[in-house]
Amino acid sequence: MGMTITEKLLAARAEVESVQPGQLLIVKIDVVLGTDATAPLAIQVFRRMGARKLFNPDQVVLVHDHYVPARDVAAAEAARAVRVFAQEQGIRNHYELNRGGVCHLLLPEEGLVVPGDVVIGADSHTCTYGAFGAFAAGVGSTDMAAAWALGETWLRVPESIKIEFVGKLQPWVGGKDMALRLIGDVGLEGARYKAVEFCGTAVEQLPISHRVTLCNMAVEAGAKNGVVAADESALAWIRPRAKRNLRLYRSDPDASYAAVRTYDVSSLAPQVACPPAPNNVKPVDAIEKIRVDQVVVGSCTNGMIDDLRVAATFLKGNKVSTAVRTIVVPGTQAVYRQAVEEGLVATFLDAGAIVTSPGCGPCIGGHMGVLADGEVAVATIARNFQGRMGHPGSKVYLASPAVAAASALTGVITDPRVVKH
Amino acid sequence: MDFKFRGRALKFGHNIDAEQILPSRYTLSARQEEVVPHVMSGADPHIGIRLKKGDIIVAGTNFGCGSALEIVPLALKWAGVAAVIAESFSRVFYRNAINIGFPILEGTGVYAGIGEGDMVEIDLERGLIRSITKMRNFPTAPFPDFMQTLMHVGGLEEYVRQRLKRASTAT
Repeated sequence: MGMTITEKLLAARAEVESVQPGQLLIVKIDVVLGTDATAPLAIQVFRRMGARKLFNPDQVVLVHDHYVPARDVAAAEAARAVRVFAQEQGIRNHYELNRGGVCHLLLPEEGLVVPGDVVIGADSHTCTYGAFGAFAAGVGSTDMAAAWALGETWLRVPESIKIEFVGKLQPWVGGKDMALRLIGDVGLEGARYKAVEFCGTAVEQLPISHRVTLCNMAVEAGAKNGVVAADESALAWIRPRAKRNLRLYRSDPDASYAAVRTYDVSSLAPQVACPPAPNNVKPVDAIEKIRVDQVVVGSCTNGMIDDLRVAATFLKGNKVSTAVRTIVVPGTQAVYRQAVEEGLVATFLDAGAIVTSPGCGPCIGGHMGVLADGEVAVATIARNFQGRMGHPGSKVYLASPAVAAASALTGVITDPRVVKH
Repeated sequence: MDFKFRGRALKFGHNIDAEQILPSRYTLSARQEEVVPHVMSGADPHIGIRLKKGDIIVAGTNFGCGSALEIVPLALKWAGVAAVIAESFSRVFYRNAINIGFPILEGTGVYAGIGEGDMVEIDLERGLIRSITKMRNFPTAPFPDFMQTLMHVGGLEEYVRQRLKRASTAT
C-alpha cells in the first residue's frame, strides 16, 4: 500500500522501507531548534544527563526570539545561559537579535530547513516547517536535550488527515482564513496526534507565506505536524536559500488517510477566531461591532513580507483609529529590511502605527504590547486562549493581516472587503 | 517514580490549555517558588485554597493543549499534584509529562464518572483508575512499551543518562 508524505519523510530518516500509523520509530534528526524560552531548561537537563558534546553542532539551531531585546533581568540571564552554551558547543547557527527574527520564519529564510528534513523544535509552532515539505513537530526541553545528545528522537507515526482546498479565493481571503475555518470545523482536538496534509488546487495557488500560516496553525487543531508537498512554486522560494540537499516527497495516490475533508474556498469569507480559543471561528461579517484597543500584525503565523504588504495596502494614505494602538512586528531582520526598502515602514509610520524589532513579544503576552484587563486585540497570531496576550480579562481575536489592518483603520472588527483603501 | 497513588479528585473541564495550567507570563521563571503559586490559576483564580499536595487532577478531553513548554507539566509536579487523569491529552503535554516522569493516565468515562473531592486510586503499571467514593473502575489506554521503559527509569533524562554512561564505559 502507498504511503503519505509524512510516512515517507519519517521512514526515510528512520532508515526503513515503509512505516504504518501507530508504529514507534527512532528517527534521525536533521535540525533541532531551540529558543530563548526553551533552551535554558534544556541546557540544564543536557548537563544533568551527563552529556558533554552535541551530536553535531551544525544541526543545532538556537534562536533568541521570545524575550528580545531582553524584557527583564530574568530574560537577560536566560539569554546569557544560551549564549554561553552556544559558544562552548561551537554552535554557528546561534541567532541573536542582530541577525535574528522569529525562529519559524528565520530557519527557512536562512535555508536551514529544506524539503525532506525531519525537524524537532522546542516550540509548539515548529509544525510551520511543513510548509517547506519537511516533517516538523514541537517537543519539550527534555526531548530537545536528548536530541542534542543523541541526534535522534522517538516518534510515533501519525495517522494522516487530508485537507483538500479547491476553488478560487476571493480578494483578501487566504491561508489564515482557510486555517481558521478548518480549526473552527474540526475543533481543538480534531487533528490530535495526526498529520494534517494540505493539498488541492487552491493550495497550489497559495504563495509560500500562506502555506506557512496553514501549517503553523495545524497544531491549534491538535496536530503533530502540518505539511504541504514542495512544488515548483515552493522550490522557487526554497532553492536560492537552501544550504543543504533537498529531498522531495509526495503522497502516493493510494496512500491511506484517517479522514479526508474538501473545501471549496470560492465562497470563503475572511474568518475570525473569537475568544477564548482558536476554534471559536466566525466569518468576519457575522461579528457584531467589537471595539478594538490594539492591533498586532506579525508573529510566526503572519510575519512574512507578504503579510506586511497586505497590511500596508490598507494603511497607505490612511490613518489608524486614534483609539487603536497598532503594532507591526516584521518576522525577521530580513523582512524588516525589505519592508524599509519597499517603503512599507514609512507607510506604517505615516498611518500612526509603530514598527517593532522582530520577535514573539506581544503574541505571548511577554512584552512590547501586553493587554490590560478588559482590553481587546485583533492579532494575526496563532492562538487566543484566555490571558494569552496579557491580563486574563483581556480578549484576543485572531485574524488575517487584511482583517487586522482594516480593523486598525475603523477601530472595530472590520471586513476588509468593504474598506476603501 | 511511584506507580500507585491515592488522592482527592480536583475536577477541571475539556481543552484545559497550557495558559490555564500556567499562565504564560509566569513561564520564563525556572524557580519553583515563583511558579507554584500560579499553577492552575488560569483555570481557577481561587485555586490556592482548592489545591492540596497529593491531589489528582481529573479533566475532560485534550488536557494541556496549546504551548509546548515543558514547564507546564513541570509546574504541576512542583505544585505537588500527584497525577492527572483525563479523557485525552494533547500530544505535546503527554510527551512532556512522560519525559519528566510526571504521572498521567488516559481513562474513558473519568470526566463524567468522577466528582470533585472523590477519593481516587490509580495504578500506572496495571493501568487502573478507580473512584473509591463511587466504587467504580474506569478503562484506561495502555502505554506503548517504550513509554513504559521511560516511566520505569523515571523519565527521558535518566534514560539518556544511563545510555550515555553505558556508551562511555563500552568504549
